Amino acid sequence: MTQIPDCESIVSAYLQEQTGKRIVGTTPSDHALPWVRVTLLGAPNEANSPVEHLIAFMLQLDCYAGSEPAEAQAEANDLARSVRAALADMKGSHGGAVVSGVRFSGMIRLPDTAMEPARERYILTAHVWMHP
Amino acid sequence: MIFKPNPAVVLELEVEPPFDVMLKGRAEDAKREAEAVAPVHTGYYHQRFLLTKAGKRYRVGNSDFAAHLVEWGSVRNPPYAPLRRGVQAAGLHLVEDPKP
Repeated sequence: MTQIPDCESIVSAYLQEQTGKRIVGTTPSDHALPWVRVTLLGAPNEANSPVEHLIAFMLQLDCYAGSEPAEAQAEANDLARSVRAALADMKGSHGGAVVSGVRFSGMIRLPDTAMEPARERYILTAHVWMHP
Repeated sequence: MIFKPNPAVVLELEVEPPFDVMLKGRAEDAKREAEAVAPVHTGYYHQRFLLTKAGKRYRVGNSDFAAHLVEWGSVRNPPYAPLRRGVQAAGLHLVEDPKP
Protein backbone atom coordinates (compact mmCIF):
# COMPACT_ATOMS: atom_id res chain seq x y z
CA MET A 1 0.00 0.00 0.00
CA THR A 2 1.56 3.28 -1.13
CA GLN A 3 1.35 6.32 1.13
CA ILE A 4 1.86 9.82 -0.18
CA PRO A 5 4.76 11.77 1.33
CA ASP A 6 4.22 13.82 4.49
CA CYS A 7 4.73 17.12 2.72
CA GLU A 8 4.29 19.34 5.79
CA SER A 9 7.00 17.41 7.70
CA ILE A 10 9.40 17.28 4.79
CA VAL A 11 9.02 20.95 3.89
CA SER A 12 9.24 22.01 7.56
CA ALA A 13 12.44 20.02 8.15
CA TYR A 14 13.97 21.41 4.96
CA LEU A 15 13.10 25.03 5.81
CA GLN A 16 14.39 24.59 9.36
CA GLU A 17 17.71 23.42 7.97
CA GLN A 18 17.92 26.14 5.30
CA THR A 19 16.76 29.17 7.30
CA GLY A 20 17.50 28.29 10.94
CA LYS A 21 14.13 29.83 11.90
CA ARG A 22 11.23 28.38 13.89
CA ILE A 23 9.13 26.31 11.49
CA VAL A 24 5.94 25.06 13.12
CA GLY A 25 2.62 23.39 12.35
CA THR A 26 0.66 25.25 15.01
CA THR A 27 1.05 28.71 16.52
CA PRO A 28 3.77 28.61 19.21
CA SER A 29 2.99 29.77 22.74
CA ASP A 30 6.04 32.07 22.74
CA HIS A 31 5.53 34.94 20.26
CA ALA A 32 8.77 36.81 21.00
CA LEU A 33 10.80 35.45 18.09
CA PRO A 34 9.75 35.16 14.41
CA TRP A 35 8.15 31.95 13.23
CA VAL A 36 6.76 30.29 10.12
CA ARG A 37 3.56 28.25 10.33
CA VAL A 38 3.12 25.62 7.60
CA THR A 39 -0.41 24.49 6.74
CA LEU A 40 -1.42 21.95 4.11
CA LEU A 41 -4.35 23.25 2.02
CA GLY A 42 -4.67 20.48 -0.54
CA ALA A 43 -3.04 17.35 -1.97
CA PRO A 44 -4.68 16.42 -5.28
CA ASN A 45 -3.25 13.83 -7.63
CA GLU A 46 -1.47 15.51 -10.52
CA ALA A 47 -3.30 14.98 -13.82
CA ASN A 48 -1.60 12.61 -16.25
CA SER A 49 0.23 10.87 -13.40
CA PRO A 50 -0.57 7.45 -11.87
CA VAL A 51 -2.96 7.64 -8.93
CA GLU A 52 -1.22 8.50 -5.65
CA HIS A 53 2.17 8.96 -7.30
CA LEU A 54 2.80 12.62 -8.16
CA ILE A 55 0.93 14.90 -5.74
CA ALA A 56 0.47 18.65 -6.26
CA PHE A 57 0.57 19.81 -2.63
CA MET A 58 -0.71 23.31 -1.89
CA LEU A 59 0.74 24.89 1.25
CA GLN A 60 0.23 28.16 3.11
CA LEU A 61 3.29 29.54 4.91
CA ASP A 62 2.55 32.31 7.44
CA CYS A 63 5.77 34.24 8.12
CA TYR A 64 5.39 36.19 11.37
CA ALA A 65 7.67 38.89 12.77
CA GLY A 66 8.84 38.76 16.37
CA SER A 67 7.46 40.97 19.12
CA GLU A 68 9.83 43.92 18.61
CA PRO A 69 7.71 46.44 16.64
CA ALA A 70 10.50 48.70 15.36
CA GLU A 71 11.56 46.55 12.40
CA ALA A 72 8.66 44.13 12.35
CA GLN A 73 7.61 44.66 8.73
CA ALA A 74 11.16 44.29 7.45
CA GLU A 75 11.68 41.25 9.64
CA ALA A 76 8.56 39.49 8.39
CA ASN A 77 9.38 40.45 4.80
CA ASP A 78 12.94 39.11 5.07
CA LEU A 79 11.65 35.90 6.60
CA ALA A 80 9.09 35.39 3.82
CA ARG A 81 11.66 36.04 1.10
CA SER A 82 14.14 33.66 2.74
CA VAL A 83 11.50 30.95 2.93
CA ARG A 84 10.48 31.58 -0.67
CA ALA A 85 14.08 31.41 -1.90
CA ALA A 86 14.74 28.19 0.03
CA LEU A 87 11.58 26.54 -1.29
CA ALA A 88 12.37 27.59 -4.85
CA ASP A 89 15.63 25.62 -4.52
CA MET A 90 14.03 22.52 -3.05
CA LYS A 91 13.97 20.28 -6.15
CA GLY A 92 15.55 16.90 -5.40
CA SER A 93 15.39 14.17 -2.74
CA HIS A 94 14.24 15.05 0.77
CA GLY A 95 13.00 12.85 3.62
CA GLY A 96 12.37 9.80 1.45
CA ALA A 97 10.47 11.73 -1.23
CA VAL A 98 11.36 13.55 -4.44
CA VAL A 99 10.39 17.17 -5.06
CA SER A 100 9.98 17.67 -8.79
CA GLY A 101 8.75 21.26 -8.82
CA VAL A 102 7.85 24.30 -6.76
CA ARG A 103 5.70 27.29 -7.78
CA PHE A 104 4.18 30.22 -5.92
CA SER A 105 0.68 31.50 -6.66
CA GLY A 106 0.85 34.42 -4.25
CA MET A 107 2.63 36.36 -1.52
CA ILE A 108 0.71 38.99 0.43
CA ARG A 109 1.31 41.22 3.43
CA LEU A 110 -1.59 40.73 5.87
CA PRO A 111 -0.88 41.74 9.47
CA ASP A 112 -2.60 39.45 11.94
CA THR A 113 -5.20 41.51 13.78
CA ALA A 114 -6.03 38.63 16.13
CA MET A 115 -2.96 39.74 18.09
CA GLU A 116 -2.78 43.02 20.01
CA PRO A 117 -1.06 45.02 18.58
CA ALA A 118 -1.47 43.50 15.11
CA ARG A 119 1.55 41.35 14.26
CA GLU A 120 3.29 41.82 10.93
CA ARG A 121 2.85 38.79 8.69
CA TYR A 122 3.52 37.80 5.11
CA ILE A 123 1.62 34.85 3.64
CA LEU A 124 3.01 32.62 0.90
CA THR A 125 0.93 30.16 -1.09
CA ALA A 126 3.26 27.50 -2.46
CA HIS A 127 2.65 24.53 -4.72
CA VAL A 128 5.06 21.63 -4.24
CA TRP A 129 5.01 18.63 -6.59
CA MET A 130 6.28 15.60 -4.71
CA HIS A 131 6.31 11.82 -5.14
CA PRO A 132 7.59 8.84 -3.10
CA MET B 1 -1.51 33.40 -50.59
CA ILE B 2 0.47 34.30 -47.52
CA PHE B 3 -0.66 33.68 -43.95
CA LYS B 4 -0.10 36.76 -41.79
CA PRO B 5 -0.65 36.22 -38.06
CA ASN B 6 -2.91 38.76 -36.40
CA PRO B 7 -1.07 40.20 -33.36
CA ALA B 8 -4.37 41.52 -32.00
CA VAL B 9 -6.18 38.18 -32.15
CA VAL B 10 -6.34 37.71 -28.37
CA LEU B 11 -7.70 41.22 -27.81
CA GLU B 12 -10.29 40.68 -30.53
CA LEU B 13 -11.41 37.35 -29.09
CA GLU B 14 -11.70 38.80 -25.59
CA VAL B 15 -14.43 41.21 -26.68
CA GLU B 16 -16.49 38.50 -28.38
CA PRO B 17 -19.69 37.60 -26.47
CA PRO B 18 -18.94 33.84 -26.40
CA PHE B 19 -15.66 34.56 -24.64
CA ASP B 20 -17.45 36.48 -21.94
CA VAL B 21 -19.95 33.64 -21.52
CA MET B 22 -17.12 31.13 -21.20
CA LEU B 23 -15.27 33.30 -18.68
CA LYS B 24 -18.39 33.78 -16.56
CA GLY B 25 -19.01 30.03 -16.63
CA ARG B 26 -15.54 29.29 -15.31
CA ALA B 27 -15.96 31.92 -12.59
CA GLU B 28 -19.25 30.33 -11.56
CA ASP B 29 -17.48 26.96 -11.36
CA ALA B 30 -14.89 28.44 -8.99
CA LYS B 31 -17.61 30.07 -6.88
CA ARG B 32 -19.56 26.81 -6.65
CA GLU B 33 -16.47 24.85 -5.64
CA ALA B 34 -15.54 27.48 -3.03
CA GLU B 35 -19.03 27.27 -1.56
CA ALA B 36 -18.73 23.49 -1.41
CA VAL B 37 -15.54 23.55 0.69
CA ALA B 38 -16.38 26.61 2.81
CA PRO B 39 -16.84 26.00 6.55
CA VAL B 40 -20.39 26.34 7.83
CA HIS B 41 -21.09 27.47 11.41
CA THR B 42 -23.87 30.08 11.47
CA GLY B 43 -24.17 30.11 7.68
CA TYR B 44 -23.36 33.83 7.49
CA TYR B 45 -20.09 33.39 5.62
CA HIS B 46 -21.44 30.61 3.44
CA GLN B 47 -24.28 32.80 2.15
CA ARG B 48 -22.04 35.72 1.18
CA PHE B 49 -20.08 34.49 -1.80
CA LEU B 50 -20.17 37.00 -4.65
CA LEU B 51 -19.53 36.89 -8.37
CA THR B 52 -18.98 40.36 -9.84
CA LYS B 53 -17.77 41.72 -13.15
CA ALA B 54 -14.60 43.81 -12.94
CA GLY B 55 -13.76 45.26 -16.34
CA LYS B 56 -13.10 42.35 -18.65
CA ARG B 57 -12.71 39.93 -15.74
CA TYR B 58 -14.96 38.25 -13.20
CA ARG B 59 -14.17 38.35 -9.49
CA VAL B 60 -15.21 35.72 -6.96
CA GLY B 61 -15.19 36.85 -3.34
CA ASN B 62 -17.08 36.92 -0.06
CA SER B 63 -18.63 39.95 1.63
CA ASP B 64 -18.43 38.62 5.20
CA PHE B 65 -16.43 41.19 7.24
CA ALA B 66 -14.38 38.29 8.65
CA ALA B 67 -13.82 36.58 5.29
CA HIS B 68 -10.09 37.30 5.42
CA LEU B 69 -9.88 35.21 8.62
CA VAL B 70 -11.63 32.28 6.97
CA GLU B 71 -9.42 32.46 3.87
CA TRP B 72 -6.02 33.26 5.45
CA GLY B 73 -6.41 32.27 9.10
CA SER B 74 -4.83 33.90 12.15
CA VAL B 75 -2.85 32.90 15.23
CA ARG B 76 -6.13 31.60 16.64
CA ASN B 77 -7.50 29.68 13.66
CA PRO B 78 -6.05 27.83 10.68
CA PRO B 79 -6.68 28.96 7.09
CA TYR B 80 -9.67 27.26 5.46
CA ALA B 81 -8.80 28.82 2.08
CA PRO B 82 -12.15 28.15 0.39
CA LEU B 83 -11.47 30.59 -2.47
CA ARG B 84 -8.03 29.21 -3.29
CA ARG B 85 -9.21 25.64 -2.94
CA GLY B 86 -12.32 26.41 -4.98
CA VAL B 87 -10.25 27.76 -7.89
CA GLN B 88 -8.11 24.63 -7.88
CA ALA B 89 -11.08 22.30 -7.56
CA ALA B 90 -12.64 23.99 -10.61
CA GLY B 91 -9.55 22.99 -12.59
CA LEU B 92 -8.28 26.54 -12.98
CA HIS B 93 -4.75 27.84 -12.61
CA LEU B 94 -4.42 29.82 -9.36
CA VAL B 95 -2.79 33.23 -9.47
CA GLU B 96 -3.63 35.30 -6.40
CA ASP B 97 -4.86 38.85 -6.84
CA PRO B 98 -6.61 39.63 -3.55
CA LYS B 99 -8.53 42.86 -3.12
CA PRO B 100 -6.61 45.13 -0.72
